[in-house]
Amino acid sequence: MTYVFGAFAAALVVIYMARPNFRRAVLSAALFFRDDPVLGSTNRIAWSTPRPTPLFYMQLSMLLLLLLAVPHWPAAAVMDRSARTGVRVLVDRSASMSTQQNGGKRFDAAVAALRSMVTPQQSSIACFTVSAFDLELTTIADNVASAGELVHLVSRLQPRPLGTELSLVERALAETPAPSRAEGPRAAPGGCAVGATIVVTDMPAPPWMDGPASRGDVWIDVSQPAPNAGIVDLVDTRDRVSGAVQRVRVVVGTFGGMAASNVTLSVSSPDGAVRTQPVDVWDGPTGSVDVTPLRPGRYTFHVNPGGAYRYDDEAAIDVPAAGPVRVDWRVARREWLTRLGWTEDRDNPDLRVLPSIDMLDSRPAIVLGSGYVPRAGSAQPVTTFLETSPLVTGLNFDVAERSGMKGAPALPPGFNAVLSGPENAVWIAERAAPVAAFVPGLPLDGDDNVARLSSTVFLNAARWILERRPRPPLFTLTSADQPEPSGTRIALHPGEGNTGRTPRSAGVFDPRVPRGRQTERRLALWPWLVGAAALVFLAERGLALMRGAS
Amino acid sequence: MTRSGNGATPEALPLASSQLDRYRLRLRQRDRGTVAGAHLIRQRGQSLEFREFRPYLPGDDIRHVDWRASARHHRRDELVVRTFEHEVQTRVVISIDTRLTMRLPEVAPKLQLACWFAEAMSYIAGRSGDSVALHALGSGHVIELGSSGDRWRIRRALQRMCVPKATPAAANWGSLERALPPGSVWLVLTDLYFADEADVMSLAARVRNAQAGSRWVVVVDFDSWACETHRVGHGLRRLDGPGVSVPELRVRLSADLLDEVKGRIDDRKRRFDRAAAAGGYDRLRWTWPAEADPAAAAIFREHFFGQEIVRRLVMPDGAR
Repeated sequence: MTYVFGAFAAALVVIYMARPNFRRAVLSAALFFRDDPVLGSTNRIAWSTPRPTPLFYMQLSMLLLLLLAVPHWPAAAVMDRSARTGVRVLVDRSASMSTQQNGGKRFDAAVAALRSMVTPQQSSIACFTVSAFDLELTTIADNVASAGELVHLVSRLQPRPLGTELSLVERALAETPAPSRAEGPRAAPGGCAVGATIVVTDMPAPPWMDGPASRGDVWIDVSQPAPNAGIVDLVDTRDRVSGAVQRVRVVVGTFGGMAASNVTLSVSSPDGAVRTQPVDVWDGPTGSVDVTPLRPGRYTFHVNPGGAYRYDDEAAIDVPAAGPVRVDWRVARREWLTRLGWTEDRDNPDLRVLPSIDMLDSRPAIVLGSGYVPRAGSAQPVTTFLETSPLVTGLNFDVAERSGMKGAPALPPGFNAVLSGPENAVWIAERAAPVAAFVPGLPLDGDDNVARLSSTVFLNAARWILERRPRPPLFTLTSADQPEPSGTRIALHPGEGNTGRTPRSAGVFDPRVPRGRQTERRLALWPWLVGAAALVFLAERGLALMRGAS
Repeated sequence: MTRSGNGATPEALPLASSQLDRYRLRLRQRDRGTVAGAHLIRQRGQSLEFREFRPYLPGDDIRHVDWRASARHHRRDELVVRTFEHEVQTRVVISIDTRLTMRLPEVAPKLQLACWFAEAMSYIAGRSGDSVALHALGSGHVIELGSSGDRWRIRRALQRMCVPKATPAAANWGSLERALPPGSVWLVLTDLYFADEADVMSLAARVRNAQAGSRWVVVVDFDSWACETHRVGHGLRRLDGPGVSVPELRVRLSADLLDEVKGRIDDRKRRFDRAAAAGGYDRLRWTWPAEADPAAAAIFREHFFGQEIVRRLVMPDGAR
């Protein structure tokens, strides 16, 4: 192309080197002009310096401007492709999108917002991809041709009683290709080259939407504050050794201007009793009601009034029956098994009590050492101890130094010393996984300090191990696999019931804005050059007309 | 080198004989006694056609006294005599410039209008009983038409006269002088665009000499400058036309240059007038409008029926 324009410029120079075109005119009085000939060569081409007329310079500058614009034409092609780029639409279909606001669901508002955004821009959008997100990001369609089809497709979606995982959206935006000038927007597997993203949700735009990486993307927050009250959380308190549910705290929240004073909680017990009580302990927007399950079974909670969001109005839990601690007791002295009320179960124990480190396997266990030999006179000083370990909670180190604890034999890898004496003698040790503890021995009989210390050490180890055993949950949350609430599978996903957030949208939707500053700068040059050439052309024509007229 | 010119045979006059007759008769009726005509020179004489009453002068034939008129005369002591017409035939010679400059502009050639004018005048003169001769200004060839007023004959003579010649013949004034007796009318139809100034002055001298023999010379100047310059416009032009001998006459036509050239042409015509005028000379200007494609018939009608001198030429009565 450069050579073509160069040829044009050369031709222009030759034309201006040529003598002017004298039009033939016949006059009967032509003989009276014999005194007025124009002197000059009669050759058609005058091989001399081009006559420097303004018209010549204007035409030459017009060609030069076009010539300068030529290297930018490949960018123009990129511009054309990015100008009608594809748009990815991410639609929030989490539980909160079912919130009622302004007489309709938030999801309906999302569909309307999407329609109003893409319909005017239809001409500049080549195609759409549609994905829905809640706890997972699901591709709905990867090549939608028109805005109408897109809206129709989105309107067929329904909110699911699941939480919102915004990290999926962040990751998706981060993975949106920054198209290079040469490659243009990367085509999705379905063939739609995505250049911009529209996120439609009821969550406020996160800060990373304000960054340069999100240029051209838009975050539409369709939420409006709506009064809502609902269960925010269920927190159970259990016995650390037996695991029995001692208390369930029902945390209730009010949002969007809901009056807290009117909120009550109904609790139905396994025996069929229903007890309704006001939520009268409030800490800011959240209050709580403590429920003490007297018997195992299903307890259901109902908040009244529920408000705009329904999935947090009810919850159900199953309180398991608290059974005895099952122990694989391998120690000869068995009186402590009886004293603690534990039952022996060698097949499925909660805890193993082993006399030797050699018997240790992957199951939770307390390994006993060689016992305590109290010393009346001299003491063995504690050299190191792990203060944060629960195994030394409540220990009197003065007593420990006189308790005559002996160092453990060689412990397998994974054990960390919690309390050590002289010459690196490990008195108490713990292993996080598989969970195990080494203590000097069983509790001693008697009521002296060493006996109390030995009891404390043993019970600390037993509690630390037993409280770490898996406990059956009181309830489960809905998941992508099982999205519908049922029984104790409830939809108390964090933040879904918060209907009082201040909406915040972000970004200016511009599907023509390519992602990448370099591409943008290169695309901006050639139209100016062509425009300048057009202006010069107009001026040249105008000047030529004026000269012709004169 | 190609030279422009219209070599086609001139077209016939776009006026019917009846139109020319009506024009002649209308002028006879309307302008009698008010316009001095030159077509016929009438003298008092012995014809049977009454001319006028006048007071008796010594020497008048007493037989011409009109006693009844004298009785009604306001002066009782004065006699009134009746006079009669004495009619003589007038000689009309029409010289036509047939050079190449007269064959332009191509849309309405000057030679075309000159031939029409000659045809009309020959017909009217013939119908009035005058003797008419055509003369080619370039070659000097003279064709006698007599006083028949035969338009077919006139037209054929004009066609023969206007045939373009490969090389212009030398001026032959001898045949013209023989055809132009004293007291005759000489019409010269030309644009005065002679290539040589001496030719112009030579023509002026002939015109001047002709007036010495009581001849009335009318030079009809065919001026198509406005039309032609309008057609070629302004700007760079390669001029072509009769009399241009250089390989290419390249000029930048502008209003100033055209005005300057027009001044040269007018100067030449003024010099011609000064050299030609000797008491019996008139010059008519037939001008072409400043239009790209003017109608030749319209130009002819405008000047033939609208110019005073043309009416004087046609007038059958009165003295010069």
